[in-house]
Amino acid sequence: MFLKTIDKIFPPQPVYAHCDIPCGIYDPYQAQVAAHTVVRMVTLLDEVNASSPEPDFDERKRIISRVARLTSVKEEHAEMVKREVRIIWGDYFKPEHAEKFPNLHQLVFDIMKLASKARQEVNLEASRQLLGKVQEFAEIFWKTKDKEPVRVKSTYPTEGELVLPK
Amino acid sequence: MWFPLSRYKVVGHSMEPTLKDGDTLWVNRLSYLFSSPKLDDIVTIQLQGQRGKVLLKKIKKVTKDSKYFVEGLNKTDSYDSRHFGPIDKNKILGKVIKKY
Repeated sequence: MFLKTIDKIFPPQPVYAHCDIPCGIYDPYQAQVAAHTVVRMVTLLDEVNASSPEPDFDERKRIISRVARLTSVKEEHAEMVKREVRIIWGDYFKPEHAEKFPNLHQLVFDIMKLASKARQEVNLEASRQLLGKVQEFAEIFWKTKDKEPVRVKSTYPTEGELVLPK
Repeated sequence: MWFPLSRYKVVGHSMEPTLKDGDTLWVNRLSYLFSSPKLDDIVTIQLQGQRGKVLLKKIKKVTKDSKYFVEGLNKTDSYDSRHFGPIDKNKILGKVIKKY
Protein backbone atom coordinates (compact mmCIF):
# COMPACT_ATOMS: atom_id res chain seq x y z
CA MET A 1 0.00 0.00 0.00
CA PHE A 2 2.82 2.34 0.96
CA LEU A 3 4.72 1.48 -2.22
CA LYS A 4 1.63 1.96 -4.37
CA THR A 5 1.18 5.40 -2.86
CA ILE A 6 4.81 6.23 -3.58
CA ASP A 7 4.27 5.04 -7.17
CA LYS A 8 1.39 7.45 -7.57
CA ILE A 9 3.41 10.40 -6.31
CA PHE A 10 6.67 9.41 -8.01
CA PRO A 11 5.80 7.10 -10.91
CA PRO A 12 8.43 4.43 -11.66
CA GLN A 13 10.23 4.76 -14.96
CA PRO A 14 9.29 2.33 -17.73
CA VAL A 15 11.38 -0.74 -18.48
CA TYR A 16 10.61 -2.21 -21.86
CA ALA A 17 9.89 -5.88 -22.24
CA HIS A 18 9.79 -5.37 -25.98
CA CYS A 19 11.38 -3.01 -28.45
CA ASP A 20 10.06 -0.46 -30.89
CA ILE A 21 12.30 -1.66 -33.66
CA PRO A 22 11.71 -4.44 -34.61
CA CYS A 23 8.12 -3.70 -33.63
CA GLY A 24 6.82 -7.26 -33.85
CA ILE A 25 4.31 -6.21 -36.49
CA TYR A 26 4.92 -8.51 -39.42
CA ASP A 27 2.46 -9.88 -41.93
CA PRO A 28 3.04 -11.55 -45.31
CA TYR A 29 -0.30 -10.21 -46.54
CA GLN A 30 1.22 -7.26 -48.38
CA ALA A 31 3.71 -9.47 -50.20
CA GLN A 32 0.87 -11.68 -51.40
CA VAL A 33 -1.20 -8.73 -52.63
CA ALA A 34 1.85 -7.42 -54.48
CA ALA A 35 2.46 -10.84 -56.06
CA HIS A 36 -1.18 -10.99 -57.18
CA THR A 37 -0.72 -7.54 -58.69
CA VAL A 38 2.29 -8.75 -60.68
CA VAL A 39 0.24 -11.65 -62.07
CA ARG A 40 -2.57 -9.27 -62.96
CA MET A 41 -0.28 -6.79 -64.69
CA VAL A 42 1.31 -9.54 -66.79
CA THR A 43 -2.14 -10.80 -67.77
CA LEU A 44 -3.20 -7.31 -68.81
CA LEU A 45 0.05 -6.84 -70.74
CA ASP A 46 -0.63 -10.07 -72.59
CA GLU A 47 -4.06 -8.74 -73.52
CA VAL A 48 -2.72 -5.59 -75.15
CA ASN A 49 -3.43 -5.86 -78.86
CA ALA A 50 -3.26 -3.63 -81.88
CA SER A 51 -6.19 -3.48 -84.29
CA SER A 52 -3.83 -4.01 -87.24
CA PRO A 53 -0.17 -4.78 -87.94
CA GLU A 54 0.38 -1.10 -88.64
CA PRO A 55 -1.91 0.87 -86.28
CA ASP A 56 -2.27 4.60 -86.70
CA PHE A 57 -0.34 7.06 -84.59
CA ASP A 58 -3.09 7.66 -82.00
CA GLU A 59 -3.54 3.95 -81.40
CA ARG A 60 0.22 3.51 -81.09
CA LYS A 61 0.26 6.23 -78.46
CA ARG A 62 -2.53 4.53 -76.52
CA ILE A 63 -0.77 1.18 -76.68
CA ILE A 64 2.57 2.63 -75.62
CA SER A 65 0.94 4.50 -72.76
CA ARG A 66 -0.91 1.40 -71.53
CA VAL A 67 2.15 -0.84 -71.77
CA ALA A 68 4.19 1.78 -69.91
CA ARG A 69 1.63 2.05 -67.11
CA LEU A 70 1.18 -1.70 -66.72
CA THR A 71 4.92 -2.27 -66.79
CA SER A 72 5.49 0.44 -64.21
CA VAL A 73 3.00 -1.12 -61.80
CA LYS A 74 4.43 -4.59 -62.46
CA GLU A 75 7.93 -3.36 -61.66
CA GLU A 76 6.80 -1.54 -58.55
CA HIS A 77 4.92 -4.51 -57.13
CA ALA A 78 7.60 -7.07 -57.95
CA GLU A 79 10.00 -4.87 -56.02
CA MET A 80 7.43 -4.61 -53.21
CA VAL A 81 7.34 -8.43 -53.00
CA LYS A 82 11.10 -8.45 -52.55
CA ARG A 83 11.00 -5.71 -49.94
CA GLU A 84 8.19 -7.23 -47.85
CA VAL A 85 9.71 -10.72 -47.92
CA ARG A 86 13.16 -9.36 -47.14
CA ILE A 87 11.87 -7.51 -44.06
CA ILE A 88 10.11 -10.56 -42.65
CA TRP A 89 13.04 -12.80 -43.47
CA GLY A 90 15.66 -10.43 -42.07
CA ASP A 91 13.85 -8.98 -39.07
CA TYR A 92 11.31 -11.56 -37.97
CA PHE A 93 12.68 -15.01 -38.74
CA LYS A 94 15.16 -16.41 -36.26
CA PRO A 95 17.66 -19.29 -36.50
CA GLU A 96 15.24 -21.69 -34.84
CA HIS A 97 12.67 -20.96 -37.56
CA ALA A 98 15.22 -21.82 -40.23
CA GLU A 99 16.02 -25.05 -38.39
CA LYS A 100 12.37 -25.98 -38.22
CA PHE A 101 11.74 -25.02 -41.86
CA PRO A 102 14.99 -25.94 -43.64
CA ASN A 103 13.70 -24.75 -47.03
CA LEU A 104 13.15 -21.19 -45.74
CA HIS A 105 16.36 -19.64 -47.04
CA GLN A 106 16.08 -21.36 -50.42
CA LEU A 107 12.47 -20.20 -50.64
CA VAL A 108 13.46 -16.58 -50.03
CA PHE A 109 16.24 -16.92 -52.60
CA ASP A 110 13.74 -18.28 -55.13
CA ILE A 111 11.34 -15.41 -54.40
CA MET A 112 14.09 -12.84 -55.01
CA LYS A 113 15.06 -14.45 -58.30
CA LEU A 114 11.48 -14.90 -59.50
CA ALA A 115 10.59 -11.32 -58.57
CA SER A 116 13.56 -10.13 -60.63
CA LYS A 117 12.45 -12.31 -63.51
CA ALA A 118 8.94 -10.93 -63.23
CA ARG A 119 10.40 -7.45 -63.50
CA GLN A 120 12.63 -8.25 -66.46
CA GLU A 121 10.10 -10.17 -68.53
CA VAL A 122 6.41 -10.30 -69.38
CA ASN A 123 6.20 -13.86 -68.17
CA LEU A 124 2.93 -15.17 -66.79
CA GLU A 125 4.44 -18.49 -65.72
CA ALA A 126 7.19 -16.77 -63.73
CA SER A 127 4.73 -14.40 -62.06
CA ARG A 128 2.51 -17.32 -61.07
CA GLN A 129 5.52 -19.18 -59.71
CA LEU A 130 6.36 -16.05 -57.74
CA LEU A 131 2.88 -15.95 -56.23
CA GLY A 132 3.13 -19.63 -55.34
CA LYS A 133 6.46 -19.14 -53.57
CA VAL A 134 5.15 -16.13 -51.66
CA GLN A 135 2.19 -18.22 -50.53
CA GLU A 136 4.58 -20.93 -49.29
CA PHE A 137 6.50 -18.23 -47.45
CA ALA A 138 3.26 -16.99 -45.86
CA GLU A 139 2.42 -20.52 -44.73
CA ILE A 140 5.76 -20.87 -42.99
CA PHE A 141 5.32 -17.47 -41.38
CA TRP A 142 1.95 -18.35 -39.85
CA LYS A 143 3.22 -21.73 -38.68
CA THR A 144 6.00 -20.01 -36.77
CA LYS A 145 3.27 -17.99 -35.08
CA ASP A 146 1.54 -21.25 -34.12
CA LYS A 147 -1.34 -20.31 -36.41
CA GLU A 148 -2.71 -22.79 -38.87
CA PRO A 149 -2.43 -21.27 -42.35
CA VAL A 150 -5.42 -21.62 -44.63
CA ARG A 151 -5.74 -20.82 -48.31
CA VAL A 152 -8.79 -18.76 -49.14
CA LYS A 153 -9.94 -17.73 -52.57
CA SER A 154 -9.16 -14.11 -53.22
CA THR A 155 -11.69 -11.76 -54.75
CA TYR A 156 -9.05 -10.52 -57.17
CA PRO A 157 -9.28 -10.87 -60.97
CA THR A 158 -6.30 -13.24 -60.74
CA GLU A 159 -8.72 -15.69 -59.07
CA GLY A 160 -5.79 -16.88 -57.00
CA GLU A 161 -5.64 -17.61 -53.31
CA LEU A 162 -4.45 -15.82 -50.21
CA VAL A 163 -2.78 -17.54 -47.28
CA LEU A 164 -4.25 -16.31 -44.00
CA PRO A 165 -4.14 -17.51 -40.39
CA LYS A 166 -7.12 -19.67 -39.48
CA MET B 1 19.72 11.90 -8.41
CA TRP B 2 21.27 8.40 -8.49
CA PHE B 3 19.82 5.76 -6.15
CA PRO B 4 21.10 2.21 -5.70
CA LEU B 5 17.53 0.97 -5.87
CA SER B 6 15.33 1.95 -8.78
CA ARG B 7 11.67 1.31 -9.45
CA TYR B 8 10.54 0.35 -12.93
CA LYS B 9 7.17 -0.37 -14.46
CA VAL B 10 7.09 -3.17 -17.07
CA VAL B 11 5.88 -2.19 -20.53
CA GLY B 12 5.33 -5.04 -22.98
CA HIS B 13 4.96 -8.79 -22.98
CA SER B 14 8.35 -10.29 -23.73
CA MET B 15 8.94 -11.37 -20.11
CA GLU B 16 5.60 -13.05 -19.57
CA PRO B 17 4.56 -15.12 -17.74
CA THR B 18 7.12 -14.21 -15.06
CA LEU B 19 6.80 -10.45 -15.39
CA LYS B 20 3.68 -9.00 -16.88
CA ASP B 21 2.88 -5.73 -18.55
CA GLY B 22 2.20 -3.23 -15.76
CA ASP B 23 4.17 -5.01 -12.99
CA THR B 24 6.34 -2.76 -10.85
CA LEU B 25 9.89 -3.87 -10.06
CA TRP B 26 12.73 -3.03 -7.73
CA VAL B 27 16.10 -3.11 -9.42
CA ASN B 28 19.36 -3.16 -7.49
CA ARG B 29 21.91 -1.16 -9.43
CA LEU B 30 24.74 -2.26 -7.14
CA SER B 31 24.19 -6.01 -7.56
CA TYR B 32 27.01 -6.37 -10.03
CA LEU B 33 29.44 -3.90 -8.55
CA PHE B 34 31.60 -6.62 -7.02
CA SER B 35 30.20 -9.69 -8.75
CA SER B 36 29.14 -10.79 -12.19
CA PRO B 37 25.66 -11.45 -13.54
CA LYS B 38 24.64 -15.08 -13.26
CA LEU B 39 22.57 -17.36 -15.43
CA ASP B 40 18.84 -16.76 -15.09
CA ASP B 41 19.23 -13.36 -13.48
CA ILE B 42 16.60 -10.95 -14.74
CA VAL B 43 18.32 -7.70 -15.54
CA THR B 44 17.73 -4.26 -16.94
CA ILE B 45 19.94 -3.31 -19.84
CA GLN B 46 20.52 -0.24 -21.95
CA LEU B 47 21.85 -0.40 -25.49
CA GLN B 48 22.96 2.16 -27.99
CA GLY B 49 20.40 3.09 -30.61
CA GLN B 50 17.42 2.50 -28.37
CA ARG B 51 16.80 6.17 -27.60
CA GLY B 52 17.78 5.69 -23.96
CA LYS B 53 15.24 2.96 -23.39
CA VAL B 54 15.83 0.49 -20.61
CA LEU B 55 15.05 -3.09 -21.59
CA LEU B 56 14.22 -6.08 -19.43
CA LYS B 57 15.89 -9.41 -20.20
CA LYS B 58 17.07 -12.69 -18.70
CA ILE B 59 20.69 -13.88 -18.75
CA LYS B 60 20.65 -17.07 -20.78
CA LYS B 61 24.32 -17.67 -21.35
CA VAL B 62 27.74 -16.31 -20.46
CA THR B 63 30.05 -16.48 -23.45
CA LYS B 64 33.72 -17.46 -23.41
CA ASP B 65 34.73 -13.82 -23.71
CA SER B 66 32.63 -12.91 -20.63
CA LYS B 67 29.76 -11.38 -22.55
CA TYR B 68 26.14 -12.02 -21.72
CA PHE B 69 23.56 -13.54 -24.02
CA VAL B 70 20.19 -12.14 -22.94
CA GLU B 71 16.72 -13.13 -24.05
CA GLY B 72 13.12 -12.32 -23.34
CA LEU B 73 11.06 -15.12 -21.87
CA ASN B 74 8.41 -14.80 -24.52
CA LYS B 75 10.63 -15.45 -27.50
CA THR B 76 8.11 -14.61 -30.18
CA ASP B 77 7.81 -11.04 -28.88
CA SER B 78 11.33 -10.19 -27.85
CA TYR B 79 14.18 -8.23 -29.32
CA ASP B 80 17.26 -9.64 -27.66
CA SER B 81 20.71 -11.21 -28.10
CA ARG B 82 19.36 -13.36 -30.90
CA HIS B 83 19.24 -10.06 -32.81
CA PHE B 84 21.92 -7.84 -31.31
CA GLY B 85 24.33 -10.48 -30.00
CA PRO B 86 25.84 -10.95 -26.54
CA ILE B 87 26.30 -7.76 -24.53
CA ASP B 88 29.06 -6.43 -22.29
CA LYS B 89 28.61 -6.19 -18.53
CA ASN B 90 28.60 -2.41 -18.72
CA LYS B 91 25.30 -2.55 -20.65
CA ILE B 92 23.63 -4.20 -17.66
CA LEU B 93 22.17 -1.58 -15.35
CA GLY B 94 21.00 -3.76 -12.51
CA LYS B 95 19.32 -6.88 -11.26
CA VAL B 96 15.60 -7.26 -10.66
CA ILE B 97 15.25 -8.17 -7.00
CA LYS B 98 11.55 -7.84 -6.33
CA LYS B 99 8.19 -7.49 -8.01
CA TYR B 100 5.28 -5.86 -6.22
